[in-house]
Amino acid sequence: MKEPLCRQNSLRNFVSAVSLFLILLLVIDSDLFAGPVEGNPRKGGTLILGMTADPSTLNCGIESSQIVAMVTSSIYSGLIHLDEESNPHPDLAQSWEISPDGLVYTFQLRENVKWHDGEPFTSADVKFSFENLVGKYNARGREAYRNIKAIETPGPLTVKINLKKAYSPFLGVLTAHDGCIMPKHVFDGTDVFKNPHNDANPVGSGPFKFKEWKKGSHVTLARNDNYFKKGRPFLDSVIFRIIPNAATRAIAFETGEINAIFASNSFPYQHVDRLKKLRNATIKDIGSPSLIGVHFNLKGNPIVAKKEVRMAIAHAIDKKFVVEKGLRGVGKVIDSVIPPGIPWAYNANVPKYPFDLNKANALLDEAGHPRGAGGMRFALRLAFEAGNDNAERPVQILREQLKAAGIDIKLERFERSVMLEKVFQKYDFDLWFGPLTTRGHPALGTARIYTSSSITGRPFTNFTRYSNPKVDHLFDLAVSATKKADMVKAYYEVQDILLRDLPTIPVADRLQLNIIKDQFKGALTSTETYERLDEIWWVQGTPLKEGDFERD
Amino acid sequence: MSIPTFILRRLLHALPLFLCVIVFNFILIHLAPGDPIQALVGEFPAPESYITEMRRAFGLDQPLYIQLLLYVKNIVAGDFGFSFYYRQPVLTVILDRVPATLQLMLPALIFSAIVGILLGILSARQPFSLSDNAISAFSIFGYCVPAFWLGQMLMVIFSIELSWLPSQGIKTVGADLEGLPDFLDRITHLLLPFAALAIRHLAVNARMMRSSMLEVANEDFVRVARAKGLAEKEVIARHMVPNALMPVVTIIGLQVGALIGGSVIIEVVFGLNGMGIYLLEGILRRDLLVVQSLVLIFAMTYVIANLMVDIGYAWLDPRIHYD
Repeated sequence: MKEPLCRQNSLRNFVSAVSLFLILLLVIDSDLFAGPVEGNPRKGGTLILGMTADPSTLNCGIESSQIVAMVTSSIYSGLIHLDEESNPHPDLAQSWEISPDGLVYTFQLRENVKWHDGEPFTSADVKFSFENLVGKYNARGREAYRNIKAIETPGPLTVKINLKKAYSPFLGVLTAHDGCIMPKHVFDGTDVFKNPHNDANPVGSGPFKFKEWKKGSHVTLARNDNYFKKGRPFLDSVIFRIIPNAATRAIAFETGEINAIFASNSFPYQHVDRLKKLRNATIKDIGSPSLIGVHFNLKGNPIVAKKEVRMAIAHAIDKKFVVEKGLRGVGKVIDSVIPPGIPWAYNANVPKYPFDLNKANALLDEAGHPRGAGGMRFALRLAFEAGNDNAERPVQILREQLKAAGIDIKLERFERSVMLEKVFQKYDFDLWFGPLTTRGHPALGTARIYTSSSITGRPFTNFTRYSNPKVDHLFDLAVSATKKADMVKAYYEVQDILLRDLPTIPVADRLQLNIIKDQFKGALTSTETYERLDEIWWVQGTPLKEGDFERD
Repeated sequence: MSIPTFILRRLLHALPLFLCVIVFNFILIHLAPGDPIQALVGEFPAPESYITEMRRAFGLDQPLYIQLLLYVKNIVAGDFGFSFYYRQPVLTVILDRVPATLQLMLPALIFSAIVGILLGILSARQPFSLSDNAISAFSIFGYCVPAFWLGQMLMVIFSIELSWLPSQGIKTVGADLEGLPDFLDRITHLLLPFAALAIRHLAVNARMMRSSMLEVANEDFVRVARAKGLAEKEVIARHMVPNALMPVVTIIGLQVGALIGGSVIIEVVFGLNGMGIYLLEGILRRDLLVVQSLVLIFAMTYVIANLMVDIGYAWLDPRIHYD
């Protein structure tokens, strides 16, 4: 009897030793001492951000993907930047005026702005960028830039952009992400795709200068001491650490190897529950909302071309369950194709399709699809992107929910490049489930999915092939409206029609999560957090006095 | 035939094999659905003129057989082509990533070979003893556990719970270390991925060596050696081990391939910027020339590893001649 007792004692000793060790570890953890420090920003420190992959280039004039913009938005500047509510604020442009007819945008540029190589920044750079780089190659802003008639430079610090027709979301594409301003003296007369500054030593005007890019490992930027905003940026350097695996990214954040994860495509959503429990970090939903939903191939399978069938499917989906279990609660149930994340455009009074299995069954019976052998009515293919966390789990739930209504869903899991070809180019699908970003404005993110002119066979255009002249007209009306009330009215009506015709069943607006350690302050105030690294400061830095730095 | 002539002949034999790899690989990746330009353009609709321009710039507008001929011609000239994604020569990007993969693979290969063989010998000395059973149990565990799971478990234990080792990367970024501190920094970063990658191969080698040793233990020449009155150590070291090594050396040669495959997973799990991650990225982005080049390099590594195994045979067994 003695031995087990003895063993128990040693086990107890071991457990207490381990607990003591863990407590000590906790106490030593410097984050605990950091605590909240408010007041003025402090200077110094390095912020390490986690991201999924290397940027393809550091030339934001030719490439507009988020992964590129995450880095280049700190090297280059835009004419303006947007705050959390998408309101424009001065960046390279100090002020601007829009003519009453919405056709002429006149920008007054900041004085004494220098490129990282010391050359002065002028209106010629702005003109050059829109005419030769972003206006030509940037896929995201292309729609907006195509609308530019002419760019005049009446003075070295004045730029006049004339539009062919009024385009209400124009300011929104002038941020460092879309409308990054590039140095004319570096790119003029060169082959922009082969310019050595694309990969090494990009010459920007932004808060940070390029220091090093070790492919597959990290990109390092260092403070630009001559940045045009006085006293900014506050950090000494920013490192973008490339960690492809989401689980590893989450672990690296927990261990402090990275201090922040910004932007929707880098946040490890599968690990959100664990990250939420961390005490020394802040999670915030910020960024352009996205529409997650079921999209129908209206001109493909004759079954889904029937409106009753689409309505039945809508009634058969328990959206709340999909969001809670499929999206791990990281999203909101939505009823319209414009998510409530764009509050001014969102119409809450669209026709709704509440979860009601009886109604779904009745509609399907009426549509001439009675239950056959095994209780199934018909089979449909549901395509989605492999590895996309917005789709992988929800589609499993959708399959079960639709089974209850007698619809046999065959899941088609495609790797991204295959999905782009099958669904968006060849229209070889019945249903597609996944997220579509709205870019914070229906003219940018919603019109491309529903207007007839967007049936182009290119990725993320009108792939349901929905076509309604009334909707086309309303989208046109909204984009050229000079009064916000007119624009809002048009979008309200568009949503009403779209929810009646049901080319899409809106399911959820995915939260765009960002996470940062509490040792860093000042972050998360912009629509795209990574565009504003100049405002982040480290609590252990040297305090700055009022007047030492420019406030926004 | 002398060994250099043998090597030369084997390499010449490998040439048609390489050609097959190049052609087969080219056909395979072009048969796969998915368009590199669309993958490159991303979520926002790009104008048709831009897409045509890109297609032309990358030579994707040419008929497939012309593309293949051009590709073979370029490879022969040592030109691996251009990465669509990085807009850089493929070779430049690959060379950037070779060190990480080698730093992970070579130690794992050498360690799992040496320690695996030693454990196998130890195990076989007294079959079914405590040490043999312990080694066997460890081997079965090591063989069964998937590397990606083991990697994450190691991370949870040593990075999160104990905070002893970093969870990812090949070195501390931002800390400009040099010399010994840099070396130690790299070692601490590579320890976990190395363990996750090596354990499986270590287990296989140990099991293989054990059964091979037990097999030769019953051979006549071992009985003769013992009858001559040789000490047991001598019998093992001079008679049993060299003979038992033959199948193990074959397995180790084959492991080079498995290690390349394994390093793809380990590199992704631990965020190491090696060729494995690059291959995966290349496939997902349909960065055709990157995938083709990497598969070719991996095939070449495999052929060379097998050649070295063949040379190893001659060294181990004087009966084998190359003629």
